[in-house]
Amino acid sequence: MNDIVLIDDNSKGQRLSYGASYVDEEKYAHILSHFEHMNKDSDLSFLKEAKCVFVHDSLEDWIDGQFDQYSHIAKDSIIEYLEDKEIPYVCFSDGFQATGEYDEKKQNIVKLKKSEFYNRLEFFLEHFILKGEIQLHILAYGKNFLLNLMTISAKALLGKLQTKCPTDIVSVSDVMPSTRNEPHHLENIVTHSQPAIGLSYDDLLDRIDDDNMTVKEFHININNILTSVAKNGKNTYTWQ
Amino acid sequence: MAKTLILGNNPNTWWIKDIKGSEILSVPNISNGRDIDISSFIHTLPQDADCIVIDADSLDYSNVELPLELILQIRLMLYECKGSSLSNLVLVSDLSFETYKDYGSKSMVLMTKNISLVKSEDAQSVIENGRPMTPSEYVSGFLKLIKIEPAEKVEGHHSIANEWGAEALSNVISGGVKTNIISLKASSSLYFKYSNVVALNAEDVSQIIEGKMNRFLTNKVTIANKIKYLLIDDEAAKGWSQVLYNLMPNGVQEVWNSPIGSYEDISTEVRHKIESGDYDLIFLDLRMAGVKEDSILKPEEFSGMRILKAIKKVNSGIQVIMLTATNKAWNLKALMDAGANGYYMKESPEYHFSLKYSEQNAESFVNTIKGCIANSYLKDIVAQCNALELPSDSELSDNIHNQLEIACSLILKAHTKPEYAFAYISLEQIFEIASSFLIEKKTENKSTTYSFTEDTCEQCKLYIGGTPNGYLGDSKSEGPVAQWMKIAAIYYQLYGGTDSNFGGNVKNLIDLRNKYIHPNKGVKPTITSDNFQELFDTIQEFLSVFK
Repeated sequence: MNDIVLIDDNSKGQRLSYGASYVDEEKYAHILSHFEHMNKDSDLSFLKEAKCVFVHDSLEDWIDGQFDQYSHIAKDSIIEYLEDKEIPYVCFSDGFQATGEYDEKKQNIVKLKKSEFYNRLEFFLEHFILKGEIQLHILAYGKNFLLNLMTISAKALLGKLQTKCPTDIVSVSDVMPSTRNEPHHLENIVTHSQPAIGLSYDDLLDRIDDDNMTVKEFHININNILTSVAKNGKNTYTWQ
Repeated sequence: MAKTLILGNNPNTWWIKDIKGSEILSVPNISNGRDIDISSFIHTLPQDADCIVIDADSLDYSNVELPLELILQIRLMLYECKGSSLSNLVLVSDLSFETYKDYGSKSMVLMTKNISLVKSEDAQSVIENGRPMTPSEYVSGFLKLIKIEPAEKVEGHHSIANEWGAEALSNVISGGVKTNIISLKASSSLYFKYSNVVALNAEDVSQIIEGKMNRFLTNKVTIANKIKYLLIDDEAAKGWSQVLYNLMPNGVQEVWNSPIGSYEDISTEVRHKIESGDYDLIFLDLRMAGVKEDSILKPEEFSGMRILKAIKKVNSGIQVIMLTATNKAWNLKALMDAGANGYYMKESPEYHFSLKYSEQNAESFVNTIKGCIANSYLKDIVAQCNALELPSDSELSDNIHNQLEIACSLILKAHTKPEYAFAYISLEQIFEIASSFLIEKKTENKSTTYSFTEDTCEQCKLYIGGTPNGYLGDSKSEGPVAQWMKIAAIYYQLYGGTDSNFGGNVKNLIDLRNKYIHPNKGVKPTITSDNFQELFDTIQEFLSVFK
């Protein structure tokens, strides 16, 4: 069994229109196994060794030689199995949104729009071939996932600084999460900018505390990092 | 004074306090790809803003594209936003341009006229020095520069045209009432909005802003007939079921909406209804097998074509109107050649039809439906033809059968008065055939008699009101022996028919034929489908006694 498993009934042949004919042409047969016909009797033990599994959220059961659009028992069993075995998985369906709902803790994408899933799948597979890495961020945010991830954090940080004019001084409290559930956006940016950024998250907090950094200077640094990621696919800029 | 609107979620943003006379509207958190929510929000905007400022960094940070989507949809929702669609649009963000440039057509909008992406410190001067676009600039500086492709590829071009076509038709027939015929999701899509405006010129834009032009006719169109019809369309739920219901509110609608490749895929129950003539009219989609048919080039390979041929094989009189997104002449010709009684060309967003065209297209569709309803009796005639038990004499049977086929084929294609008349005359010919086979005229010693060619060679009697009254050709029958007299003799005397009105009916029917062929002072009577039906019923009665 391959590392990556795709379970999609593909009952209307949509893969063709999504530009994902490479799946059925077996272009990635050495890393990707795909299954279309599943039902309540399917033996799921083949999923045990998978590094990640993609499941159509509206998977139709294959009953008596045809798809039953009203029966989704197999899909429920598969998700239960994957949860139980803690295997990363992606649920995709037409009704979901273009940006995947990525769960950092479980490293799962619980919801992703089907068209976007197939749009991004080939890049995901190429990335796996090149780096041997299951990078679900690619599926969640697209092939520019790093830029997208960092832009979201940058946007959140700039939003926090909106009440200050460019010449005001940034304080540590300005860039810290304001609620317990809020992600550490600045930490995310620093983490994704290593090693070229040239300092750790704690170092940066110290600099903000000590250096009287203006809002404008903060903006410039953040934007230079984003521009660098946009142009090079990774950060090459050192925080000034 | 210029009216400035700020869309943002932080009224304490440092630069906002410097923008005088502005109104601030908060923007709800909208997830990526939720065009419906963006549309709903933009619907609430005032229609007379000169400048709309988007405080991008205050919006939901998880959706980086949201500011771009707002800008694009404000521009595209011209019918809803009126003058605000032409406003000076300023996107204020301290994020670099790099973060906004990779979102396809949404990023492309930043390159169009009167849209600025500025840092917060430059916001005030750009806002104060800007001005709205003119209608001409809107066309040349925006519409001509952007191109938006359909986002949903899953169901292909067919699906998009399906929804667009239903919406277009609904707009025309609804009489100025927004019907929401298709899903809000479809109507809210960027592609549909783009298609709504892309073909406009500057004059159109001016009229829309001034409220002098909308996308609806003022007269509601309905067909009042109480008919029963079947819609065969795998995507019936995407507007077509509703638009047909609105068009024929007194009709009884049944729908087959599962993808199918052939007639046999339709359930036995529905096929039985089709075959027993349960439906007055069938609307049939050309492509019933989803995306698999998007690349089909030969018309005979379409599932709808296969189903049409099967229905026409069952009963060529069943009225079928094809619903198709194709505009290819060879496809439409093939459909008509296969027996379709009409078609409606679903409008596609790619065609960029004008409102005038939509009106004509809808009017033509309504007329096609009315014509098919008027011809719905044909399925009964064809069914009765198929069920007729013909005389046992093989040559006579063959001749009558052939004549029936000719008459039926003529009436099936009849649309004009002469065509109905020819079909009628052709059907009446059956009387001629029967009498020439079954009655022999003999003249001896200046005396003419008529007798049956059957073994008995019995002399033919004259029947008046179903009662014998002498013989054909004797002194009691005034004038020459008419065709109707011979038919009456065959009916009553030879085969024992009992309907006392039969002879009189035949006389009237043949008289009508004669008046058409030999018009009095050149005035031809009008022969209608009702006359054909009446003649057919009488011939049916005539042939029924043969057995």
